[in-house]
Order: sequence, then structure tokens, then C-alpha cells
Amino acid sequence: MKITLSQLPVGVDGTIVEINAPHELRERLYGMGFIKGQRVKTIRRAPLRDPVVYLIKGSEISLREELSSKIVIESRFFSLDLAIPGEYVVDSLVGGRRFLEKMRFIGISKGSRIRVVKSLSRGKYIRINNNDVFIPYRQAMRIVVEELPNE
Amino acid sequence: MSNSHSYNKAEEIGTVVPSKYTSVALLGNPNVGKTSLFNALTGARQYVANWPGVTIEKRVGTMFYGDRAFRIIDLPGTYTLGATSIDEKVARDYLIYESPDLVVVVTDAMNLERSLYLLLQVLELRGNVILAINSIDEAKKAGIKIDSKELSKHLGIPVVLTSAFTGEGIGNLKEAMLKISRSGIHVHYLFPERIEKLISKLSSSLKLKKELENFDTRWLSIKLLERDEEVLKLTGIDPGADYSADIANSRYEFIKELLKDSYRDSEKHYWDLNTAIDHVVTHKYLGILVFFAIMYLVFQVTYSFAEPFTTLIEMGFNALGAFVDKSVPIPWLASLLSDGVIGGVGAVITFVPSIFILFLSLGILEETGYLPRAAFVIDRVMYSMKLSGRSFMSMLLGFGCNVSSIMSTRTISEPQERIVTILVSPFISCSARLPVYIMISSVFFGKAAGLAIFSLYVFSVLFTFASALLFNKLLFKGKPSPMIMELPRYRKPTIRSLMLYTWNRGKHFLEKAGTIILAASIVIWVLSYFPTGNILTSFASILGKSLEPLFRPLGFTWQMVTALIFGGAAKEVIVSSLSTLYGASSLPGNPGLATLASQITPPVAFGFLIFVLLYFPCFATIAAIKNESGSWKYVWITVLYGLGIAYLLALITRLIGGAFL
Amino acid sequence: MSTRLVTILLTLFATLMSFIAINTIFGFFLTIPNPVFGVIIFINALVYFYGLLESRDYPKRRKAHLLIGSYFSYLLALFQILFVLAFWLNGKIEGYCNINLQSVNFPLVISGLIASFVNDYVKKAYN
Repeated sequence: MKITLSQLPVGVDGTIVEINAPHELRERLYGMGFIKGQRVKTIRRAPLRDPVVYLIKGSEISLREELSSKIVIESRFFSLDLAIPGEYVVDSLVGGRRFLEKMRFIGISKGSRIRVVKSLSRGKYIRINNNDVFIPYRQAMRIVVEELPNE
Repeated sequence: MSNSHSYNKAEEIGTVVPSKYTSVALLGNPNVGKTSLFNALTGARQYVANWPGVTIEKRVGTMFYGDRAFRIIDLPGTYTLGATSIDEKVARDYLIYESPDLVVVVTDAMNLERSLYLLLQVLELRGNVILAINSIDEAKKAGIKIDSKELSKHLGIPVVLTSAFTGEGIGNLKEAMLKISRSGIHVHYLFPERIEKLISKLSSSLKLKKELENFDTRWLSIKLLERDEEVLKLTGIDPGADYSADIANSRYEFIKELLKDSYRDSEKHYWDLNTAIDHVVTHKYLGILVFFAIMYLVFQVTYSFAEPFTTLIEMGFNALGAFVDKSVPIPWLASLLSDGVIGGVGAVITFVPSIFILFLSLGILEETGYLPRAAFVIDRVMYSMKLSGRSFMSMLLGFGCNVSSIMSTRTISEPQERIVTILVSPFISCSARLPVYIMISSVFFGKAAGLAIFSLYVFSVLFTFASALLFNKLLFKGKPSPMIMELPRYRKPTIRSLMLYTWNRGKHFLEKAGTIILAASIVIWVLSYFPTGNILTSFASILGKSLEPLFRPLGFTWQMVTALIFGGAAKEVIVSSLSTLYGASSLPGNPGLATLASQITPPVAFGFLIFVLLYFPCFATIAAIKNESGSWKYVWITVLYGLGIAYLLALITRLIGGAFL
Repeated sequence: MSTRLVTILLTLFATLMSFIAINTIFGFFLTIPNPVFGVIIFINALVYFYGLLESRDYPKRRKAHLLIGSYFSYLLALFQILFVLAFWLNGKIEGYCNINLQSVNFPLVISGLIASFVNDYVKKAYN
């Protein structure tokens, strides 16, 4: 799916599709390796969430959200809040022990298959193990899912 | 060594370079070890200056090899030869207009693909280029194999593998420089046909323009296709569409082809030492704590470790002053020498230990690679003030001394941000202001003295941030600097490069700031000595008395105004001046200060403290501002803005305070 | 380096540095009270402590905390030695002795030296 670089979860990578940065910054981004078709990986977030370090062509570059939101990438992994209705596999859960417990209670853990049924602005209705569950937006942000190709 | 030193200084770059020198430009991405390579080539035969008109550091050095002398210029680190940031513009303008005899492009062996991008841009522009692949020792350790002969064959230029850390390949680089300075080649590499067609079409129309005959038309065409603003203006041609993305892509395609046979990467293990360090120092909770801990240590190192040396220097100068005072029979001359000259020189020299230790600690933080991490960790906070994490550290140092705060802005790479940081640094309440706060507060606020002092510090921080926003808006139209920053690998700094780092910058401070501080001290001495030799009837007092009506709305007495004038020498001088002017010692509860207490009300006293916090900074700070911003314009902004705002806020304090009390 | 050893060392240093931090803040034993520096030492203790909170599934992260924590402790000890030296020198110049057993903060210096050995040991595992 096409998402912005700023939406790419930590630890996963994607391919750059488009760079919509202002002209004066684009040149420098090219020089640092941000070009179409280049793979880029999110390494870590700053303590206050912004900026974020990306791994590109073997070096670590820190970008603010202001700029990374202008770079469009294609990624198989993204957080659940961005998912459109369809089939997904949970790749990882970002959070502490309590969050993991809560998710396990619903039946979500690493590798579980979920189906997004309905997408609302305040969250997602998903179907898991034949149960319908509502996942609020805040929690959905912390669930990294992988797109399953349509069979 | 000292001989060649003065030789260097005689001819600054920008004037004509004598023909017997071969001029060499070192160009490369930031953090590829370009400066260490520069140090390895030139040794101590180097000095630091600023590029004309901008605040970017320029390092120039001399190297003798074979029968030739090389003048090596370390250009600012850049990723491209665009003209969108000042760093890039300085590097590019130097290459285009000063046209050095040869260019050494320094690249990183660990990250060759990315750093070759710049090389290709240089090859588009000119010939006589050497490729130096640095950090080869690290690459070998990591199992990366580079075939320099193969690379050289494909590129058509000399390729040297070097390591500034171990010294490997430095001799080869010198040899290559000697060889190429005798011959001369200009190689072109080809873009895909579609772009080549556009280039040749543009080239042929550019060739017709007489005024462009000094430029390489191929390069101009490429830059036109990339829609480079400067070249668009220069040529007056608009090719229409923007091909910059295609051109960037084809450069990387070319690099990929190039490295296919000559570069073998190793399996990169992700959890290496680097990642381990970053995991902790940019940790979600620990990151900021560790940052503050390190800042505290730097702060302590700068002020505690320098203290014995500062004391020693002060005692030495006091003794010297007393000796001169006694042995010179003419009283005014004795006073000039002991109070004016020796006192002034002493004031400069007392800065030496802390400035040098400050630069040593900054050098360690910068060379190891922690500084970008610190900026990364704290960036979000500063972003709300349209600054970046880089300026936070400088501001923090300002609580010790505004001079060190301004000097440390050398580590900020964005010029716009650097200027704003320099301009707001004087509003951070430095340690020299504390004695004034303590004296006035203890006289006027009694038990609330601590609260009064604390509120001044809070006010100082708020005001600094507000001013940063204001200056950004006024001078740079509120555009925040983008902060695209690379986090380099951690490196162990070499003692040699740390010494050079410290020495170059410390010396630069002494030379440039020293003269201004000395001149100002003599002026202050003249004001306080003449015409009668008594401070109470001196020019300064007369000045204070004549300025007093101006300060009447604030409720200041003439003694306070005079003390403020003396405060220009150093803010803590206000304490001693006030005591002298009120004719008593500064001991608490002395009759002189009681007079002061009877003359003014507490709101006026607090207004006075706010005035002390905000009005023009001490001469050392002014010298540093002039030196670091490179322009008197910013000094005037600081002085006038400071005075104006200090007056306004002191007035408001008095009015509000007066209304309540 | 076994995960178990890392855990033991982390626990050991987390407790040790916490005690030294409290000791430095209040000045109980062989040190003069220095609240700010005490807080800095406590930050060092936190580096170890957060290492223990890392999941057992990521032993390398735990090791990273030990690596940086021990280096930090070593740095603090070094800093303390230099600080005392500068303090002593300043007193010497101004002609009085302002140093005694209390001002050295031996617990910090000694644990810093121990930490330097640990640091060497952990670093070897990375090369």
C-alpha cells in the first residue's frame, strides 16, 4: 500500500515512490540517496516521537515528520489504522506488557490473521477467529500489519 | 613551523594565490573524515577563518610534497553541488569561481555508493579530480573489499584508498596529487540517451552565448535540466520541465554499474556497537536524561576545571598590575597601564582556560559523533521555537557564560539557525549576572530573594525562546531550518585532531575577540579615570548623571545608570561599581546600600534586575557576536533590541509593581 | 557473554549506583553532599535499571545497557577524580587546603574503576 514515510512503522522497510518535498530540499535528499525505487527502513524514533531516523543506502538519516510526510513509499507493512478493508497478518505489536496482554485477550498476537471489515475514523472493525472486534484508533496505530495478496 | 604559519596568514584566500602554489580543494559529504584527512595532509600548518560574508568555517593549510607546495582548502561538507544551502553554495562557488588546480573528493569506504554521488557531480563540472576513499581501515575490518584499480579504470581518474586514522594511503594520496598536478584530464560520464539528447541540445544553444564562455556548457545544461535556480538566472534559459529526479536516478544507476565489479559489501550485522550505543543514548526515556547528564558534565568541566587556571591568571595579572602601579611614577600612566591595559589583557586571558576546555569538550562530543544524537533527542522541543536540537546545547552553555554559548554555535550547520541562536544567547542569564541578582535581591526582597532570583531565570528562558521566535520571523520570515541530518558512525577521536580542533578555534577567539575586549577595557578606563582621577567625578559619572533623566521613568538613580555603563565590561562589575558609587563596601547591610534602599522601591529594583538581564551584553559577548556572525549588523541588533526591550520591560515592571504595592 | 551474567551485572550495578547516588545527594558516607551530581549518578543507575526492563527476548538490548552504563560509570569516576584535582589545585593556588577524605567520594571512584573493567569485557563481545 502507498503510505507516507512518516507512517512507516519502526523496524520495517518500504520503497520510495514519490518525493513531494520543496525543490530546494529535494536536491539534498537526492544527494543523501532518497530517490525513486530506493529502499528505506525506519530505524528509531526520537524520545519525543519526532524526528525519526531512517536507514538509506547504508547511512542513518534523521528527518522531521514535516518532511518525511512528503515522501510517498510503497510498503507491505503499515499500522492497522491505515488499513483498508481486506485480509492482513499481524507483524508486530508496539507497546508494553499491558498492551500485549490486552491484545492477546482479543486474540491478536504476532502472526495472527485478521480481516478488516469496516473502517471508521475512530477505529477499525476487524474479524478475528470469527469474532467481530472494534479496535480504537489509538490502539490500531500500535499494531503493525502485513498486507496479504488477494487470493 | 611558526615560520610557515605566519607565511600562511600573510595571504588569506580570496586574494590571488601565487602561481607556485598548487591549490587543492577537499570536497566530500559531512562525516566522511574529510577534516581528519585534511589534518593528516597539512599537520599543524593550518588555520581557521570564516568564508567571506558567511559564518561558515574555512580551514586552509599548506602541504609540501616533492618539489611542490600545495595550498589545501577544506570545503564545507556537502551532499550535492546544488545551491540550496549555504554550505553547498560556498563549496560550489569555490569550485566554479576560484577554480582550484585540483579537487580531491573524499568518500567513505563504508558507504561508497552514496558518497560517489558527489564525485559524479564534480566530474560533470571539471577535470583534475582525485577520488580518495577514506576510512579504509574500518571497511577492511568490516570485510568490505574495494578494487581501486578497477574503479580508477572505469572513472578515468586516480583513486586512492586512505585512512586518516591509521595514516594508511596518505603517501599515495600525496603522490597522486603531485602527479595529477602535472597533467590534466577532464572525464565525462554519460547519462541515458534521452537526457544526453537534451543536454546536447541545450549545450549548442548555450555555446552561442558569449558571456558564458568561461563556463562548461555541458555542466550548465545539466544544471538547467535540474532547474538549478542560479543557473536558470545566469543563462536566462528555461528548459521547462524538471528532470532532476531522472538525473539523480541515472547518477545512482551509473554508480551501481561502477561498483558492480569493484565493491564487495559484507554481511552487515545489524546489532553492532553503533546500534548498541544508539539504543541507549536515544532511548525513549533515557535519551533525554543521558543528554542532560552529559551537558552537566560539559558545563562542569568548562567551569570547574578552568577555575584553578583562571585564578592563577587573575592573581598573576593583579600582581603585575600592582607592580606597575607602584613602579610607574606618573599616576595617570600607572593607572592606564595597570587598570586599563593589564586589566584589559587580563580580562581576555582569563577567558583562555574555559574557552579552550570548552572547545576540547565540544571537540570530543563532535568527533565521537554524539552531538548529532543530542540534537536528534532534543529536536522536538526546539522545533516549536523554529530552531533545531543543535541550538539547544549552545543555549544551555549560556547559563555559564554567553561567550561560550556563542562560540559553541560553530557546531550548528544551518547558518540561519546559527544567527538566531547567536542573537538570543545574550538573554540567557549567565553566571556573571548572578552576583547582581543576589546583591539587589538581598537588599530589597528579604525572604523572597530566592524566589526573585528564580523568577529571573524563568523569565530569561521564556524571553530567550520568545526572542528566537521573533528573530526567526523578522529575519527569516518564520521558516524553520529543515534539519535533514545524518547520524554518523561513532568514532574514536585522535588526540591530534582534538588538539587541532581546540587550538584552531581557541586561537581564532583570542585573535578576533581579544582586540575588541582590550579596546573596550581601555575605553572604560578612560571613562572612569578622567578628568579628575576620581570615579565619582569621572566622565562615566557625568555620563550617568546626564543619562539619568532618560531613566527617570524607570526610577533609576544616576549611580545605577553609571553602574550599568560599567556593566558593559562584565556584568558582575555592576556590583562593585554600585558599591563604589554609594561609597561603601559591598558587605550586606552597609550604609551605602541602605541609601540605595531608601532611594528606590522594590518594583524599581526588580525592574533594574530585568534591565541587567536584558540590556546589551558585556564586551566579550559583543566581540564574540561580531566574530561569529561576521557582521556588525547583528551586534547593532543585539545592542538596540536588548536596550529597547530592557527599557520597556523595566518600565512595565515598575508600573505593574507600583499598581500593586 | 551469557545472558545470565549480563542480568547479574545489571542488577549489581543498578543497586550499587543507586546507593552511591543517594549517598552523594545527602553526603552520608565518605562524600560531601552534592545533590546535582547525585542526580547525574542516579541517571547512570537508571541506564542499568532500564536494561533490566528490556524483554528477555532481546539479550542484545540488555547488553547495550550494560555497555553504556558501565562506560558512563567509568566516565563519572574519571570526572570526579579530575574535579577533585582541579579543586585541590585551586585551593593550593589561593593558599589554603580545601580538600579532605570526604571530598573525594571514594565509593564512586572505586565503583567507576570496577565498571571500566566490565566495560572492557562487554566491548570485547562486540568486536
